[in-house]
Amino acid sequence: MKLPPNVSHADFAAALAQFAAVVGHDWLFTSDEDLELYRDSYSVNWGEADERTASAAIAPDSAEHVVELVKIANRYRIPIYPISTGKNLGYGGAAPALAGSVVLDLKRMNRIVEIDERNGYVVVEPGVSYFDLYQYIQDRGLKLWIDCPSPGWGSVLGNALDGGVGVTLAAYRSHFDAHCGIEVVLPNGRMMRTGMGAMPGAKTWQQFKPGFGPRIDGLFKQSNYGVVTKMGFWLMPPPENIARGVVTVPQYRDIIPLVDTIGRLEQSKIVQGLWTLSSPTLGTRGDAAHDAGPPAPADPALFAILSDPAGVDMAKLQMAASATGTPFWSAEFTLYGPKRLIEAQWACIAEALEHIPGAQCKLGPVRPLPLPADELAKLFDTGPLGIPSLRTFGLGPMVSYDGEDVVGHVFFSPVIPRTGEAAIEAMDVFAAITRKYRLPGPPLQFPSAIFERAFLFAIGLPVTRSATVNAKIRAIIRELVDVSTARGWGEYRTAPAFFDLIMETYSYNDHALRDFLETIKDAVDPNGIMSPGRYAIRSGQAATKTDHL
Amino acid sequence: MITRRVMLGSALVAAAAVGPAWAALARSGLPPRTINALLIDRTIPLPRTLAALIETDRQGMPVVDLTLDAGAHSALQQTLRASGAVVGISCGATLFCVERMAWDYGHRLTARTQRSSAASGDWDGDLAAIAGGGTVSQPPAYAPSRSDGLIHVWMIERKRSARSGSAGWL
Repeated sequence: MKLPPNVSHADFAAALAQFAAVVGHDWLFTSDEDLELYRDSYSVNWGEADERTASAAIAPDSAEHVVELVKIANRYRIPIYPISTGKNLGYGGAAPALAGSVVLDLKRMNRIVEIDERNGYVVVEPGVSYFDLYQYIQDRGLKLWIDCPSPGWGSVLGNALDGGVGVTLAAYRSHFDAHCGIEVVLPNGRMMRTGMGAMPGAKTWQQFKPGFGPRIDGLFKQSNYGVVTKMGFWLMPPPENIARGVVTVPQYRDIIPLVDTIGRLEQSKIVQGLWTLSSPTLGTRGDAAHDAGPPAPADPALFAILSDPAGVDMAKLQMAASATGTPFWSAEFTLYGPKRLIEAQWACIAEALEHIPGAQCKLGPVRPLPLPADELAKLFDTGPLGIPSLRTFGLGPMVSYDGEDVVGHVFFSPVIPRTGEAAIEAMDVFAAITRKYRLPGPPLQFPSAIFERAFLFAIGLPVTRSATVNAKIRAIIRELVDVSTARGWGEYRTAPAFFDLIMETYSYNDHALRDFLETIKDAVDPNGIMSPGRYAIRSGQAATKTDHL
Repeated sequence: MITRRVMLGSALVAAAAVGPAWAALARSGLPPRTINALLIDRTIPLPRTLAALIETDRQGMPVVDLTLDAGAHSALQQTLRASGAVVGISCGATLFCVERMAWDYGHRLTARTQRSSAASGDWDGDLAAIAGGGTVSQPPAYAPSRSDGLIHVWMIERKRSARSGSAGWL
């Protein structure tokens, strides 16, 4: 039997017996066959000594179960690692941050506690997936839409806590920002509610985010200060219509005024749907532009330039593209709402962008929602329509890397400034590393506008079952982090294998942030039982650093 | 809604009447199995001979189309909840998704074989071998790809391990 670190066999056995007494023997898992399911399928340390695997797993059915389990974990100093549905692939999956932890699998807690069509909110437990919530709404004919990430099998609550994002309107895309109210079991086993939920019998828990006093909800995002057992989310009314508008600009450096102008439109809330950057010249679509196929393949005259092993010479490419009349960039807008609102928004967008020489603006048909089923079936990704799917798993050209089958990916996800200049710099920097290591992917990858005021540059790196190749990928990620940090670009999210690497980069004033987080950790979790190491936060680290605070 | 139906086992005697793959299984002499549904990946083109085989088998048992969208997900959940064993034909990417969803219902991938979609092959035999639980020699790992040109034939079965609990996971 695998043991948690610093726990005796006798204590572990006693703790497991007490865990089982709470949840029932059927919901305590210790066999190799069962624990195999708690490995991270996309682990970049697969099969190596430092792969983070669980010693056991337990599956409570209620928040009351969680309270009892946390108390037992404290009694025996057992590290526990809560997961929601465990499908956070690319960012760690179901595996713990610390090897030997007991996974607290919350999948059975899959109740939709409350849904309110009038005020547009839902309260969910951790095991509720986007598929579950969508189906629940459909079955009852509720006039509500959800915002979901590309793989729809993830937990609504878990995705929000990990900083996940969706693809509809800006106000709903950042899933943590769209939440309102948290119920959490603290590491000492005490249950707490945030915001208005701190008032017994409060009628506005899901309607007023700030509550009274400090707003502490953020402490439970990407952290290990408790087990979140319920969370409220604001939902949107279903839009009446959807339309796609495309603006093309001819020159490579037109990206600078393009991004600036769209940014102002977003800040004014004229652009609220996700817009994506693509390139007809490169034949490449930007991240999250999954709902349709790629643009028409680049003109054959451009292929030689695009496939130059020394890198794409943008001046040559620009000349060749101009000769063929191919625009360099296209920005694709998704607009939602009443027809006259969509048309008014588009008029503003076109008027603002037409000042870029050579810009062409075209609004597609305004389509009533919902779209017909046969049309939905042809879409690659239904996320922009508020419908979860798993079709993103069919995406991607990664078949093999360095002679090894690719079994998954691990994300490198820096946040870069929302400017055309930064986008060009990031594209250059990351394309050079892609060429250097012959990573699969297009000659240039584009930033995503999924965040409201910054670009996300999510790069999926191949994961194999070869320790040698995976070690190479880890080294590439370290290099990517180094070059990004040197430019002031930080990652917004990462897999457990890189928690410490990334936290190390957030080092302002001699790691004041990390020291503060660890001081809190020591206060709320002195035994260090709650997800030790998650997002590089640990107990017992701050004691020697108090002179810095 | 897909309802639980017993295809083989007690119904094995009728195999010749319900589809060639199952007829092949009956001829194989392998022990009877209970297969509740045939899961077909509709995200990839299937070889003509395999498609024809499936259409014939469709007459004899529930066929669930896998499209990895919300509607298919709901049907798949109901199938997994109600099934002891299902046989599927898919690309690696779809198998990857189905396998993980199946875990939540206490199922495991218990047999798998793969074949190039471009090659002519004994799909009939593959299906019979998988459904019959015969020895299927393939690497335990598979590439979760939609673009490697491979088609996998597989079986997912409910295991009586603790993880599923006696009542199923969800």
